[in-house]
Order: sequence, then structure tokens, then C-alpha cells
Amino acid sequence: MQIALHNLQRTYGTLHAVNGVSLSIPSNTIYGIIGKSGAGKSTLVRLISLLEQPDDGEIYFDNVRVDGLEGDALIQRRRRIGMIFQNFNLFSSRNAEQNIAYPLEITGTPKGEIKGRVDELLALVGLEGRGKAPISTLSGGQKQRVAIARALACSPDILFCDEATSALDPQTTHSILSLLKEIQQKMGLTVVMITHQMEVVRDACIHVAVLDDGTVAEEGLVTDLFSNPQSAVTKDFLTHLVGVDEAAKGDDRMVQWSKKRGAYTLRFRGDTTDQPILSTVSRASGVDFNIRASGVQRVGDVEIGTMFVDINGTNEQRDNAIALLREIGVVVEEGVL
Amino acid sequence: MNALVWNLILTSTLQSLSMVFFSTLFSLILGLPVGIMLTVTSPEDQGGIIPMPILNNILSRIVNVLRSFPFIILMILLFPLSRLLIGTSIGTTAAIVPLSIAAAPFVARVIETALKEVDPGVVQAARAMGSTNFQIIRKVLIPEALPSLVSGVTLTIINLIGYSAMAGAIGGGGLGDLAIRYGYQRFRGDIMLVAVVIILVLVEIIQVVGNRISARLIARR
Repeated sequence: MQIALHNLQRTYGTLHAVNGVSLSIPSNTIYGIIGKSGAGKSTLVRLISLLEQPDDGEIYFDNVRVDGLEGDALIQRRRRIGMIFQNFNLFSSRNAEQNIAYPLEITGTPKGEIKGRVDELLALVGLEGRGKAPISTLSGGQKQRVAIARALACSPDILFCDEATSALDPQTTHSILSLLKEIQQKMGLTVVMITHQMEVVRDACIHVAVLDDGTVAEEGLVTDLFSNPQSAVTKDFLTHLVGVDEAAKGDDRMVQWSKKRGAYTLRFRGDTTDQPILSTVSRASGVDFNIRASGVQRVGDVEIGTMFVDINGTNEQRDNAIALLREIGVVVEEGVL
Repeated sequence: MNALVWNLILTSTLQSLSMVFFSTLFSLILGLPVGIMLTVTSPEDQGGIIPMPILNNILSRIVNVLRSFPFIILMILLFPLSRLLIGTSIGTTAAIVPLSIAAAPFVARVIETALKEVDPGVVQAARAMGSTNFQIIRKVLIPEALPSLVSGVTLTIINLIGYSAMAGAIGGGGLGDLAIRYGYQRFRGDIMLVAVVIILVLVEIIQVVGNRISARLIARR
């Protein structure tokens, strides 16, 4: 299911929560929407999951307009959307399998069919035999698995994940993301992940839109965004992800030699991470590099390196070095965010 | 105290029990829909699923007025209604009418409070899954709020035991009537004492049973 948003607007009083968002979310993919708190993510997800109506703009699912649906049509459409949440939002009055059965019950599925389908779903999310467990006895990761099974019960074509891993520890986040990727592949779903965690985007998403102040600051393939970020917000997100702050805390992805940040940020992508680029450029241009901090991380199938450096030499030598770096395919930005 | 007196006490206790039982039943029938209405029509940020501010306001005002009415005066005002429905305004059956009406707004508030405790996130999830409003009420709000609802009903029954004793003062029968006519007006302190003790024991039993049911519902989660 392909989703298209045209100039969505939503205002609460004087707050312009969503201010002209246009996005095209391709079918059969994992699409991330990242933003800081207050960027308008929650409002945007309420709009595209049809929980709220936009003030202006249009929403299309596979070229069918869905904003403004009402009554039965709206309810039928919602039944084909799966949604999972940060706080799981499971029914405490029902055990695991009764939770998963809920969407089937409300759509009038016969009792006999429900049982089989629930067992299938429990197996899909790796909770075989835990069907009778009361919700309070499950761990956070298990709760999110139940929530995923519940969201998938009616075979939706879209799955919205609203900060679905924000309440989970890193290991559990990893296992939930793996599960979501696996399910996406298996069912050919369009998964939309709303998050404030760049790790989630890096580890799970193919495409991403960066939301800032109710508008789309940047949008594209995750690999492009990591190797060549354009907007200040994106750069900020990346700095926090692999930044000097984290390096100081002993994060092993970023090796740090100096507490001060460098004057330039270099971003390497793919093959360039394997080559002795700095020494080559240093010899050719006569500059000296002073590496402040550096690291390589994996984004999907691509390795992306980030390095904060000072470049010492005459202005001419420095410009020459930067030109050489850009020629090789390294993104050079002045200053570090 | 001879057998005749004990017989009188037994009859009065049964009258009280029947008054409390039926008035609880009817106050629930009257109060439950109002409580649900108060919840679902409230503003969205208070958990309303069909916000209707004007209706909500009107209902809320009516409930407040009825709740603040002194019971004994409400009872007198409702004599004509009792006469219309039951054919008389005196006796146990007749007392059930004002008791039910007096307790209904209380029940409505108790149910509203219990339903509003349900996590709004859970209601949002149910809505996102395409639940109809009726399905949200029946399959989400009520089951999720059940332990609080049971506590609320317990409180209602206990209140009604108190009210039913008051109803005795204006010819409603039951233990209150016994305590006033025999205990107070005929200076039979022993009968008064027995009537009061029975009321206390009834309240205690209801409270314990209600707490147990509520606790068991929570433990199962």
C-alpha cells in the first residue's frame, strides 16, 4: 500500500503542529519519520492513521483519497491499518491471546477461526504457548510482540509504529526491529515508523523523512541521509548518534582523540571507508590532518564513516585538499554540529 | 425480647434487604447509561469518544442537582410518582421508587469516574483498530474498568442501606422504620440496638464481599 500526503495542515489553537507536510511513502518498505518532541510526529501519525482529520490537505492510500472518510467507511478503512504504540496499549482485562483476538472479534470473525488465527500470530511473533498469560506478567518486549500480533490480526496493508521501541532497552529494541523487518518482508507490508531515535532509522528503515517544526526538513534514502545530510536537524541527529558526547561516554563506534571537536566534518560512504584517503590527500596537497573523533557505522548494507578533523596548511593547500576529498566522494562540511 | 419481637426484626430485615436489592438494581439501570453518556460525551482530552459538550453539560448539571437534593425531601417530592407507579406512597415497595432515583445520579458519577480511569491510550488503540463506539464501550471501557465498577457498586449498595434506613422515617418499612417506631418512639433501646447492629453487619458484609471481588478481578490481570 502506497501512501501519499499532500500539503497536510493541522492546527491546535495557535500551534501549527503539522504545517504543510507532503510525502510519498512507497509500497512494501519500512519508512521512517523522525523528529524531536514537538516536531509534529504524533499529530502526523494521528492524521495518517485516520484517527484525526487534517484541517487542510489530502491523504491517499493507493491513490484513493482517505481523509474525510466518515462512519462505516472510516471504520472499515481503519480495520485494515495496524498500529503499535510506545506504551503497547494492550487491554489489561484480556490475556495475550484475547488481546490478539480483539480485532478479529470486532470484525465478526467466527469463533472457530479466531482460535487458529491467534495461534498462528503467536507463533509469528515468537510467543508460542504464552497465549494464556495475563498482560501484567509479560516483559516489555513480550508486550510489544503481543501488540504486533494484535496489529497484524486482520492482515492490514499498513503498519504504523508510533515510537514502538522508545520504551524498550537496546537489546529488546533490536529484537523488535528484527521482528518488524522480518514481518515486513513476509507480508509485503508498508511499515511507517515514527520515532525520535536515529538508531531505529539506521537499523530498520529504507527511507526516512526528517520532521522539524511541523514541516519536512529532509527526505530520502536512509543511506543518503547518513552519508550526505542536508539540513541542520538531520546533522544534529547524526551528531547525537555518533557524536563526541557519546564517544566521551565510551561508545565504541566513535573513537576520540581530543575533547575538542574538529573544524570540519568528513562523511565517507561505502568503499571510501576502506581506503587510506587521508594520507593520500595529505601527501598530494601538503596539508596535515588532525583527527578529533572518528567512527564507522553500518546503515542497512552500507558502511558510513564520520570524522571530525582539523585541516592544517595554507588556505590554498586546504582548499586543494577539500577539492581532492570531494573528488574521491567524501562529503566535507565546515564545522561540526 | 420475645418471639414476636424477633419475628418483627426478621420481617424488617427482609424488607430492608428487598428495598436495597431492588433500588440498587433500578438505580444501576437508570445510572449506568447516564454514567456512560457522561463519559463518552466528555471532551476528548478527558477520554470522550464522541465529544458533545452541550449534552455533557446538561447531563452533568442534572446529576449535580439530583445529587445535592436532601434525600428525605426528595422522597416526599416523589410521593406522587410512587403513587403513580406502585399505587401507594407508603411501604417497602413504594420506597424503592425514590431510593432508586436518589441513588441513580450517584451511580452515574461512580460509573463515570470508573470509566474515565481507563487508559486513553488503550481507547485510542481500540479506535485505531476500527472499533465502533458501541464496541469501545462494551468491549473496552466496561471490561477495563470492571474492578473500579465493582467498587463503585459496593459503595452504592452501602449508601442505599443508609438511605433505606432513612426511608423508614416516612413509612418505608424496614430496619430504619423499626428503629424509629419501636426503638425511639416506644423507648425500646434493645430493639434499636438490634436494628443498628444488623445494619452495621450488612454494611460490613457488603464491603468485604465487594473488596474481595474487586481484588480478585485485579489479581487475574
